Order: sequence, then C-alpha cells, then structure tokens
Amino acid sequence: MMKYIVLFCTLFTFSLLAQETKLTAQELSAFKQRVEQETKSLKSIRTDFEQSKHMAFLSNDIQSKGKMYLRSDGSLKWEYTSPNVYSVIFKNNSILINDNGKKSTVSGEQDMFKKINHLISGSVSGKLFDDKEFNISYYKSGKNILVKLIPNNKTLKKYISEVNLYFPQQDATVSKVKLIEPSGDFTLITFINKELNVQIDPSIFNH
Amino acid sequence: MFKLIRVFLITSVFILFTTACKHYKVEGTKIESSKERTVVPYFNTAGKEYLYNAKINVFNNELSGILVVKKLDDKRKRLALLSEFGNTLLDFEMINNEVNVIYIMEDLNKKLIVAKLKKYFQLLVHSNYEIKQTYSSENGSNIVSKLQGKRIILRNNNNAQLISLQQVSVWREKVKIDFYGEGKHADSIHFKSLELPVKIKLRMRK
Repeated sequence: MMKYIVLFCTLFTFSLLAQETKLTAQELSAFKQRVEQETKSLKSIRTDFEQSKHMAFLSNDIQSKGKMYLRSDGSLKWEYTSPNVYSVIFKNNSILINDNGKKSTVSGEQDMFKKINHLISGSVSGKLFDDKEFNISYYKSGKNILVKLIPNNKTLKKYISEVNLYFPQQDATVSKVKLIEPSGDFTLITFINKELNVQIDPSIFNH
Repeated sequence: MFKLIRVFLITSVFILFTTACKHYKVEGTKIESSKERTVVPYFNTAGKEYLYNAKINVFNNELSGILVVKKLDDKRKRLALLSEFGNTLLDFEMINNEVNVIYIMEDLNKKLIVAKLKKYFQLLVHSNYEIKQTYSSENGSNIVSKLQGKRIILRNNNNAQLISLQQVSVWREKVKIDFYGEGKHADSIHFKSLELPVKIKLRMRK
C-alpha cells in the first residue's frame, strides 16, 4: 500500500511541476509591457549558451556549447566553441560560415534563411510577439512564463512545429528556447551569463 | 592522311576498350574460408550511441553536421544526420537489409537522392555479410560478399582489422569507405562515391 501512496505523491508532484496555466489578461498585458520596454532599450546581447539536442531513440542528448552575440541592427553571431569550433554570422542578408578556419558565404536572400534569422534573433530579443507568422499563446510554467509559438508559414512548419520561449518571471529577456520538430524531437538552447547592452566589438561580426 | 586518322581511331578505340572494359580484380590469391559470415565491428555494439562530426562535400558544396548511429537491437539500427544547429536533416531506420525513411528534409526528398542516401548509409553501417569468396594477399585478406545484389569487398589488414569496404561493379569501383581505428572503434571514416561527386569525412565526436 505504501508504495502506491509514494507513487501517487510522486506523480502528483510531477503533474504540479509540469502544470501550465494560461496567463490572465492582466498578467499578459503586464508581461508584454515589460518585454516591450526592455526590447525598446535593447542595443545588444552577449551570452553563453548550451545546446542540447533530444532525439527519442537516443538515451543521451547531444550537447554543444558556445557564445551568442546580437546587435539591434540585426547582426547575429552564433559561435560554437565545444566540442566543435564553428560559427555562423547573419549579417546584411548574408550568412557567413567559419568551419574551424574554413570560411564560406551563403546568400541570405533565400526565404528560408531569412525566416531562420528572424526566428533566432526574434526569439532571443522577444520581438516575435506581434508576428503574424505565428500563432502565439502565453502560459505560466513553474517559475517561468512560457510563450508558445506555432508557425503559420507552410515552409517553416515542415521544419519546426513549435517554438517555446521561457522567460524567468522577473526577467524580460528569454532564458531558454526550445525548437520542436514535427517528429517531436527538439533542440533546447539555454542562455547563461547573459549581458545586455554591453559594447560588442564590431570585429566580432567580421568574417 | 585518312589512313593516319584511321590508325589513330582504331588505336584509341582499342586502348579505350582494353582499359575501360578491364574486369575489376580482387587483390590476392583465392583461398578456402572456414567461416560462412563476417561481421563488421563498427557501429555494432547494441545500445551504444555513436556520434561523429561529419564534413560532407556534395557536388562541391560543403556542409558540416553531426552523424548519429545507434544499434537498437540485433536487427535494427538507426542513423540520423543533423546540422550543427541541431535540426534533423535525415533519419533512417535499418531493419535487416531494408532501409526505412523516418524523416528526410524536403530539399533532399528527391527519389534519386533518397535512393543514393539509403544505399550509402546502409553500406556505412551494415554489419553482417555472407562470405562468397576469400582472397589472401601480403597486405591481409579480401572478402567478397553481396549487399542488395551488389558486389562488396571487405579488406582486412594483417591484424584482421577491417580497413576498407568497397562496392564494385564488374568493371569498376563505385563506392569506397576507409576505416581508421582499432578494435570496435573507428576514430575516423572516409567515404567516397565514384559514381557521384560525394565525399563524407567522419571524425568521432569527443
């Protein structure tokens, strides 16, 4: 009997932890206002990140680490430092790739690349909330506010079924981004040591 | 003048015929084998998750990513190719000799490309081959087998370590995979197609 009580209590605790409740109209308005204010004054973000790819058939997630730089003009650098040295810069409609010293450039004119850039920089800065390309809903989840974005765009839908943005309750910038694929496998990016409005050396975005 | 041209043409055709139509010959002397089957040691430990950094060159376009292989049980293997950002480019399941597509991104989802990718990745991870013939040479041994009706040559060095796998037609080599490693571990793997400009270099992810 005791083991059933323990099992019930464990399941009940987990269900409480995982519970997501929709934000009330008041909460939503306050949250949006807070993010909007922060975004208005946002000039740059410099942060470390940890990336974790989850696939249902694997017992261990695939881990990567790196640094991310974002400027208000839309320049974005995604720099992997471990286990591989690899960076991608989205700048002036171009994608500049540095693969362990081997450099290449891809035209960013393609619709898909524009969408990826828009999605990444928008997720990090919180500028996606009024985007017509997503169906957006807002929840409270533990100590976070969870924003769920479901793409309306057919092309994007083939690659990503949902984007989850996690905002710590007292923070106006995102701390975790979860990109869920149509199969249910997902990539979770966690930002750590985040610094806002710091001076970023322009040469960071040079190829 | 015409006589000269005729001699030149006949010589050219003869050279072309004798070189291009040469049968692909397996190195070494044919010997009797006591075994009926041979097992490729790589990607063959059940439950183990193999992670490789992949550099892929297709028609002179380079892309890098992550290759994941897992042997689920005796009959099934799963192989997925991911971009550095983590999104899945393709996901295949191998059951015995069959390859099922679990997912493939739309840009790659063309009949010919899917067929080639299935063939190439099956060659990379297939583990159990029937021995048709065995040849012995001073560098080791060569085992001739078949996979999906195609001729396969497995080269072992003098320490009985598998160092390469080729798919060959009657006339020529079609695909070559070189394995660099020891025992059951291949630290790096070089894949080269000779029928299409496709090269893949894999390095074990630390």
